[in-house]
Amino acid sequence: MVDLKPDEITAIIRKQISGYQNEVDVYDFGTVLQVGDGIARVYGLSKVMASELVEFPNDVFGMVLNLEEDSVGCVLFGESSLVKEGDQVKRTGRVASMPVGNAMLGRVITPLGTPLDGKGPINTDQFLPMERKALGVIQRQPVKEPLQTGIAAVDAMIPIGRGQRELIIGDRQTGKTAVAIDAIINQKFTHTEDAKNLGVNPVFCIYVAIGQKNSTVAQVVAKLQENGAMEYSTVIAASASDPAPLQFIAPYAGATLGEFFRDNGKHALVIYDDLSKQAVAYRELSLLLRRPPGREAYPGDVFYLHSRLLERASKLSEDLGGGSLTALPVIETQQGDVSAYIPTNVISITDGQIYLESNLFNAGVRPAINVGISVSRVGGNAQIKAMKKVAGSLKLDLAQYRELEAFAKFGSDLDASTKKILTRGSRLVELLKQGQYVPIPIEKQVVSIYVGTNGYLDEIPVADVKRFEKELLEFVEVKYSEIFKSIRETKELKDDTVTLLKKATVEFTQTFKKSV
Amino acid sequence: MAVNKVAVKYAKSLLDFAEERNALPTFSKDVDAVLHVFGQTDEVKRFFKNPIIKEKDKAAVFTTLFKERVSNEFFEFVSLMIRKGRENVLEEVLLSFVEFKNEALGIVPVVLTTSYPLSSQELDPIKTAFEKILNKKVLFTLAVDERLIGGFVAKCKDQIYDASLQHQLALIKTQLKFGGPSLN
Repeated sequence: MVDLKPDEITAIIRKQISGYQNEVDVYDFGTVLQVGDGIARVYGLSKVMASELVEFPNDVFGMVLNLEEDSVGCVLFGESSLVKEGDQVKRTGRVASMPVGNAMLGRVITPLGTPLDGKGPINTDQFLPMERKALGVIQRQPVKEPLQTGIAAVDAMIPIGRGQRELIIGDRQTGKTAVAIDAIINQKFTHTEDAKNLGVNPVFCIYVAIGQKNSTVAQVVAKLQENGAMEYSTVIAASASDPAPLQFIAPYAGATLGEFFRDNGKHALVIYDDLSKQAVAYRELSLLLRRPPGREAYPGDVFYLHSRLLERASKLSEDLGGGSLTALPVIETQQGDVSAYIPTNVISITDGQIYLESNLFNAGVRPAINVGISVSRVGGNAQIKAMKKVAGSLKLDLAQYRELEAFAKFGSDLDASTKKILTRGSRLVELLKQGQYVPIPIEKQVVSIYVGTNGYLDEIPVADVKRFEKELLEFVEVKYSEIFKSIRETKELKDDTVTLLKKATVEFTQTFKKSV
Repeated sequence: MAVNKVAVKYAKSLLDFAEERNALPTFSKDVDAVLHVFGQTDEVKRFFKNPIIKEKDKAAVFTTLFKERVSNEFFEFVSLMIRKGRENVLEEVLLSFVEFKNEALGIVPVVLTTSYPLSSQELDPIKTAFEKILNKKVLFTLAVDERLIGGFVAKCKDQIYDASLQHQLALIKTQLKFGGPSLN
């Protein structure tokens, strides 16, 4: 026990209270007319602003969404059972905002910025409004730096750039979250000294969980911690048991925190997992607020809901510090139906999509990316030169393979060229398979894809491709480490490196064949 | 709290009419008289609100009750409302009328809650202060709530002037909870 004298305690309390001023507090108020289903109608509050935070009794906060002739429609961020008819509602005078700052890193928070992880209060005094207008044309510049996800299939064929918005879309249980989590884990490299020396800026990550099970969120947090990714990440959780208004604002909270990093010249990656749940939450509260339903009963502004959110992802101009905010929204489809309302909307807003398929997933192709319909509209600008060089023929080879895949079942009655395409394709598909939570550094991806697209794998049995790749990478690491070094440092695949790589591959293939 | 659109329309026309005839004082006296009766018993209110009772009966009751007590014009106004089948909003109309009248005369109704009943000497400085702040005449409605401990709370339209001890203790509580270095 520490000894504390009564005088000291008095002094501390006096100091605490000294800042307190005895003044008449003037505030605007209203009266609750009706409450239920997370919605409250309030009479009064005549000067309230749209999307202003209002305070109900019992520390329940709400946000004003509807300003009507004689009442105000609010959504509640807390238990609606704590609010009763006739209760007094206070204006706070500020629009819905959240605390931001570096102290948010490593924390699990609610969309309002209160900690959920039991690690004590978050020390930050900076607040930013949740709804902010996206930047205009002048403040931006084209996306040009790559954001490596560590997933070979993505980095090679669907490259994502810093400031891009790339949709991850697929049915349930196809590994959408896995892609996103891998992308976060792979940013660990950007926070190292090596990355700093190579001129790679750190990427801070924000994972927004919307309408998910609390157990799933806990799992994600545990995985991030296990992989040391929590130090540079924030998890914003509005789980399925939270009221719809919280689920509705969660992505905006994520974007706000991301913008804090972006506006300070840093780089941020924000994952909205998933926006279909957010749309459902928004539909719920729109209908309760009696806004007219449209297609699939979503309100008319559900497109605007997502477009204004995703439009906030951007690459700032050099004058503004050159920071970036990359967005990876996730959409869950029902039975592969991408022509439903929300998927088509988000597809049209984003700069491309990673399409995950349950057929592929069940066939053991993981990540289950359908390369044919996955695109990145930013394309080559977001790739390092070395990758661009080796991955050029990859997409084509795979496309041809898919076209002829059906014939593979006919067995031997195939001409030589068809057989060649099939051999190559099956090896490439095998090569692009990758485990979860094992992101591959870009230089290793380049080497793997180089051997794949240049036919070195054609003679290796399909079952041994993964082992070949693993052992080759180890071999190069040990004996020809200058290959990796050169790619990493120059970001190019120079001719002498290619010669060296060829030599290494041939050398390794000979020893490998003996083991088959 | 009059949220009824019909009531607002009737009340406004009644006020316009009163101003036109320069009969605002008589009218407000009449309105107060009717409201006073409404406030005293629930029965009259329920009687006028009841849709089953015929218009004729309602008119007859109103005549016997108020014919002698209110001015002729006001009596005609209520009779018109009954003829048009709007007698169910009569109370709201009268309440809105009072509200509009106060607004027109530059009077602000303020609900003043204190922890104990105030004497007029205590009330006067508060009144002068409020009239100075609001730049309008203040009409106090007094209320007592012991939970305030001390000080007062004044409700004026959509604003609250909170100078109660209860509120200040709550403020200190939040300050101790969130502001400054923690005590433990």
